[in-house]
Amino acid sequence: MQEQSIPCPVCQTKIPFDVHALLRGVAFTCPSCFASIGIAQEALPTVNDAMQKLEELKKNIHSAKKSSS
Amino acid sequence: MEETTNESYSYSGLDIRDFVKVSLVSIAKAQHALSVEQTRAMLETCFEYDKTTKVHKPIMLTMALTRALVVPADSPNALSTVQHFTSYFAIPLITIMPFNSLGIDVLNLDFNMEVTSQSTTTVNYAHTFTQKQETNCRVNLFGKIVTPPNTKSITPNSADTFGNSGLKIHIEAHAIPLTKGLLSIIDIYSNTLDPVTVNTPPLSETDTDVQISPKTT
Ligand SMILES: [Zn+2]
Repeated sequence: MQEQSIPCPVCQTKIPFDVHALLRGVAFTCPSCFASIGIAQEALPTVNDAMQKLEELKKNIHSAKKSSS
Repeated sequence: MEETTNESYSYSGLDIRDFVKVSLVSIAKAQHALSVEQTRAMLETCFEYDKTTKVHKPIMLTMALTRALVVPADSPNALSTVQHFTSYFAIPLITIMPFNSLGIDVLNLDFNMEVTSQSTTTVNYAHTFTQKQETNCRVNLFGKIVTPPNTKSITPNSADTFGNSGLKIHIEAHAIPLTKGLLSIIDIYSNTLDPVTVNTPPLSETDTDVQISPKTT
């Protein structure tokens, strides 16, 4: 799997990150300037809500697959 | 192009070409169904639908960028201090959601077939424009699905173990990337977003408000 990275908004160094961890609220630190980037605390409920919807959808797909096989 | 075929064989077993075709079509159908769900999920989770204007408005996500800055001492006897400043900016939720996980991640389909019979088909092509006749000869293979002898599980080399009439068929499918259109939107967003400080607070404040606005260049 391809490693994901975002350019540091401060120094442009690539910050490797894991999107699932980012969505859980983990902040990622630039290895060069130590700036940290993450989802703001107040935005986490929005993300949780979206992730929950996505998980529900995945479950629906999974159960649809099971019933069709 | 018109095609007339002239076949002479007695049926024995499945047409191997059709069998592979059916497997590929099933995978494509599954990918299609998942793509439809993926699109629906994008609309439902990342956009707010306004019934009056019938517009899908993107849900924006606030990101926090914290960095340490050395604040110079305000008097000759004082020491410089390191303070953390947090800037906030918004990105569309769609650019961060892992939608690819809805598609087929990896699919491996292996089966072994034994050729039970073969035939040749003479195909006469009549080109629509030139009206030229061409004749091609096609070999058709028929077979049945078999378990390779002495191998319970299928390994990449197992085809070698069951003779010349055996065929090992391996079909591999991987996740489809996000659609080109969506990737372009994400690219446009990431290339045009540029943090702009709307008000510069005094250094004693630890939070600054930053608004994302499109680049003018
Ligand atoms: Zn940096």
